[in-house]
Amino acid sequence: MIDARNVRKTFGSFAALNDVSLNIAEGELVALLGPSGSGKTTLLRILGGLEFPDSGSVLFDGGDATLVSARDRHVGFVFQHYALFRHMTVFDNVAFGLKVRSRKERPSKAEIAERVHHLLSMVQLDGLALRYPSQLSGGQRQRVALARALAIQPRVLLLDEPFGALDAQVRKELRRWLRRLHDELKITGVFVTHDQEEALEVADRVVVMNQGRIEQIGTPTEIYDQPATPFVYQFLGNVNALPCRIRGGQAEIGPLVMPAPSYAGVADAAGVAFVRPHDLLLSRPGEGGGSFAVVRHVSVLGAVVRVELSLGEHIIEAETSRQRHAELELAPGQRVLLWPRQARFFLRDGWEGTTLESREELARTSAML
Amino acid sequence: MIKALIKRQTSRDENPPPALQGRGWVAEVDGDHATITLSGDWIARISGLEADAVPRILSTGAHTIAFEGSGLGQWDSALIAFLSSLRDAARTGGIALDEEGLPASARRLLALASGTIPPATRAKGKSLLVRTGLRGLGFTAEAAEVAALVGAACLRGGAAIRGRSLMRGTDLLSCMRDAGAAALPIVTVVNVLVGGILAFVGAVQLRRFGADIYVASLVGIAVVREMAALMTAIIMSGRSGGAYAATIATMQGSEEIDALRAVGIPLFDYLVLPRILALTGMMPILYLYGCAVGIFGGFVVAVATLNLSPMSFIEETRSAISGSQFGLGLAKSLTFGGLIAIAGCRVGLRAGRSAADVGQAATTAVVASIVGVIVLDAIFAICANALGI
Repeated sequence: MIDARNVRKTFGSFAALNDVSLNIAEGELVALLGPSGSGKTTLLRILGGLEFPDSGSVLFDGGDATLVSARDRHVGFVFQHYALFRHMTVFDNVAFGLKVRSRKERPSKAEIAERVHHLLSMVQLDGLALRYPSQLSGGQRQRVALARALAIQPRVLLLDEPFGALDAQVRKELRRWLRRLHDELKITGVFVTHDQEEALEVADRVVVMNQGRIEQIGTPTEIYDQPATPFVYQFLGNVNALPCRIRGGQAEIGPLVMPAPSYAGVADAAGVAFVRPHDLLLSRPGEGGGSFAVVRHVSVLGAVVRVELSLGEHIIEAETSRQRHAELELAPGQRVLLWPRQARFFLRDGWEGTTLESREELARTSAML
Repeated sequence: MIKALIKRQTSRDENPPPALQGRGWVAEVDGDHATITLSGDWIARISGLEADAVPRILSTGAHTIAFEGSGLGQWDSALIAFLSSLRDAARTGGIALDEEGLPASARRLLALASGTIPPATRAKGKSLLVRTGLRGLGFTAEAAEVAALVGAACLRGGAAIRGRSLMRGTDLLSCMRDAGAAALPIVTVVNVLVGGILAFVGAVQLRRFGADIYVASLVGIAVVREMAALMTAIIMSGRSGGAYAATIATMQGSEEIDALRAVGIPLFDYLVLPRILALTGMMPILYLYGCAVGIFGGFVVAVATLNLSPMSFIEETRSAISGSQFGLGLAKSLTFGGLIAIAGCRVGLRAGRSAADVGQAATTAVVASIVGVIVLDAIFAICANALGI
């Protein structure tokens, strides 16, 4: 459906996109996920024809569309700040894209009115057709923007942080609603977000971007369970990043030794182990395996209990259930056995995204200020 | 490694090395080799910096210095500052520093703090020729853009008059109200005052020659040929030109322009055309109105300060101004209207996306249109002189 090949884009000396290739299938809902400045919005704008790449090409249904304008690509665009035409009613906003068509392509007045009312009922704004944008709430405005984008019967729907300006409750509702709408309409969609929860919940496939490059493409489950790079690991969900040594197929995190079969050929190297807090199993001495760790702090957060432990010189965060917490009677100072259900190791050499360490340094520097 | 430890152990047994210590560090010297063991917290805010630490370490006379950093607690730039000054001092003294024992993050920060800082970053000056060339190219590109806009205005304007445009009638009407009726009060005030001022100035000079009556022709000709068109244009530069630039720049910032492009609406027809048509349409009317109130201002002042009957003033004015002078004024006001609208829209479309860009766009548009209006007026004056109007 959409095929971006080796797209590059620079703004001045800043490389917004660095050789990005992406393939989007018909009827798929794809999330572009990344921190700000990762190039995700630029990529979306290039797909939509609002921005043109310096090199590389964009194909729509196999045909080269790199230099085709937004209008001729037949894309629906939804913007972060709604971008509704403020001096038009809701009805006119939605109808505008149809009304301005040349006489040949333009549906009749009655048809336009029918289509607009159909769209407005679909976005559940039936009774508000004659209001002005300023009389609507944020969530309602964004739904008008969506109806407007859908009115021109686009081949692709592009959404730039569609829920970014809404409050948390409305955002949650709207994203479920977007997923349902997508399932009904089966329209190809791409949306940009920096919220990993949103990406994982709504999208069929997630594209994780960082510094103008794609770090990983995969289904939400793949992205969460098998992050390809340290960056993806840290960007998606909470994770413990622990310095370790990798020696002959084993990783040593302080006193804890874990098998790392994929590094069997590595004699001795510095590495980093990534362990999600909920993958850490805690047990009483004598009951299970693992290494001894000392509980430093316990906080009960609703359904889960977060436990801070010290393992040798490392501080580790673990998550466990309320029930397990009650069984173990966790309290600061207590010694427990700690065993990671799964962990992933990366060698420090050749690891370019040094986000973790720089974050550590940042924290230290700001402590001083 | 182990051998080295044993060796150190044995040598320590034979001859306990002199230990030197400071806040957070202990230096063990073994011959010409020193090991600095770092421990505890190194936080600049809390522990401060130890001024004499580096000279004391260097005074041991060691030729190689190694570090042992496993006992370090929290640290910040205090540690880096210590290590960096030690390294600088060691370099001048020809002492080798082994940084292996330091935490990796400290090593990296230390590398960042190394002497390879580029000398004070003076903006890489491009040569005068290159700058002139770039400027020239920029001007050429801008001129091409403006020419394209003028061309489009003519073509699409013609289409709009024949009713073949995507321009919305309501937009045109609202622009016309803004550029017309809404501007009347300020146009009145300015033109009345200018007419009055002209009459005053003229009266002072002409009275000396007993030529009071010519105040009427002075005011009439000056207002009709120059002042009404020029003053109205300057007012409209501030009122409409700035407003156009600000409105379009705001739409740029709120992504409305992108939305228009995505929906497939030609920006020119929708945004620029109604503004150009409204302003070029309203300016001649404002000009005629400006003439009337300007002459009225002159009339009031002349009749009040000179021995002039109202009838003789009106009679003299009628004989002094001719149709060709009105023609010149109307041509000017049409051109000025087009210039102001195009400048405002162009600046708005070119503006950036931030809130500050809106203000800047408005200012740029006003300055550009006022300068443009005055330059055009001068060109008109030269042409009129050559043509003998």
